[in-house]
Amino acid sequence: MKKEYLRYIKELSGKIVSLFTDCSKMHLLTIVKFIYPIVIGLCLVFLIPYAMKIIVWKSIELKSEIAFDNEEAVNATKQKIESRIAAIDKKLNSKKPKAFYLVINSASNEFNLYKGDKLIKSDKCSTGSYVLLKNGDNQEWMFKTPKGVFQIRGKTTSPVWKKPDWAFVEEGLPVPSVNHNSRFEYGVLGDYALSLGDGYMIHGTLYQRFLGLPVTHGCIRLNDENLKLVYNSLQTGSKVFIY
Amino acid sequence: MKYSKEMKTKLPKIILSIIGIITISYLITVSLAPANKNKQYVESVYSDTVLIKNFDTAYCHSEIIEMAREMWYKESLLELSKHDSIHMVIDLIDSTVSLSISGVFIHKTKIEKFEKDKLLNNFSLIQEFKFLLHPLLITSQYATIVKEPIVERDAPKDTLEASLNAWKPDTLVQNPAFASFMLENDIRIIFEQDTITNSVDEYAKQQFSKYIYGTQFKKTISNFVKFKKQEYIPTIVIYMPVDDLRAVYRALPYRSYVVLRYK
Repeated sequence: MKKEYLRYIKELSGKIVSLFTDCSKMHLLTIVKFIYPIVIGLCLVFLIPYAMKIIVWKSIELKSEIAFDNEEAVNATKQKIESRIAAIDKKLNSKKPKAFYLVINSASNEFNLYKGDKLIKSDKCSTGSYVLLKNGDNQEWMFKTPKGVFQIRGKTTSPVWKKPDWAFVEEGLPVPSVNHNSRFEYGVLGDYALSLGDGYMIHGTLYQRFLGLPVTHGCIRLNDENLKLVYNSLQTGSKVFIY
Repeated sequence: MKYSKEMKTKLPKIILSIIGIITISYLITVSLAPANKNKQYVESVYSDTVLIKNFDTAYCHSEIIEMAREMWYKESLLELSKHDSIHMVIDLIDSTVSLSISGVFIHKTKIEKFEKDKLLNNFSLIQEFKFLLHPLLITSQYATIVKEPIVERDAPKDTLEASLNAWKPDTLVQNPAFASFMLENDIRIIFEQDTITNSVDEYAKQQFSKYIYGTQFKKTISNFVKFKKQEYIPTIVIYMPVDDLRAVYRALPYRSYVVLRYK
């Protein structure tokens, strides 16, 4: 049984070997004929551009900086550069506010209060919702917080909100006359308001749960505690950076 | 009869050879593009007589070279501080990307990873002097983020409709963040969010790359067909946190400047 099995294996392996040798004899030439141009083609397609690339980058490669041995000229230039750097630093430093200033990030609805380089407070706020309110074809209002550098134009305690036209349009109410009683709302802006000009303000809110979300009509809303801190820190003329 | 049979066997070979030659020529022209670009940069430097006059050869001294770079970077910042809109400062030495208005840095992000282009790395000092002494204008930008996520609403007709349509505040749609800024002098800055957490991010990245590199590929084909020189765009890829990238992209106006320090 074992002998038969061994003989069977021997025969089978012999057949496989002969098949391969026959095959290789018959098709070797054909295979070479096919593979050879493919290999050459691939070499040409990839190697030539690759070699070119290497040559090109070698040619671009930075040559060592030119030798400059005039020590006197080097020292003079060094001094010139140092004094120029000092002058620029002075100019750049003069641009930084020394007193309190506020930075508003309208993308993440966060504010940072600084005094000079020191961060005093960082917390959530609310900025413009980017809603474009359309009243027919004639009127539209965009509720976005403007970006750039602003200054505190005025500070008020217990501010009264004089509702603009859009506040009525948004509620589906008829727009009253300019100084109509219904335009004046008390207590909705919190205890303090700081004006940035053009009707934009930093003020408080009744809807403190919306802080951190873009929900306002362009103003900046803070919670009561932060509003008090900002009100006490910023003076008329203080800078507010909004981005 | 014999002729046509012979042609039949030769035709595929001829077609393959033509395709091969065209492919090789295309690849060679593309691989020559960095050299063309470098030549263009060098020519623009040496044709600028004012620049040559102002360039002190002592800057090339090994003791001065770093100081000179520092000075040019600060000159650039000083020039930027004269503008009162928001601009970007990319400092690859400190690994930071910042926003600045009127000389005040209002946002700073630490970057973990970036890739610099070989061509930029191989700029000679006078080329750096020419290209990086002044802030670079952003000539075009493209991103997966919406610059201003405007929501249009029609005014309600009465109070009942207003109460029914009361707008529920929601966080803004937070698209995956990938952005590309093309600067003057044909330098490109690509920003990618540093984490890919889900398939939406992965898809957005693929689409972004497809747009950027697909456009570039089409341009190379068009240049090849029209026998024009291939263009090469030196690119810096910066990976940064997604929230910071959104804040930076939304803050920058369409026309703004970039101060770049990479050496």
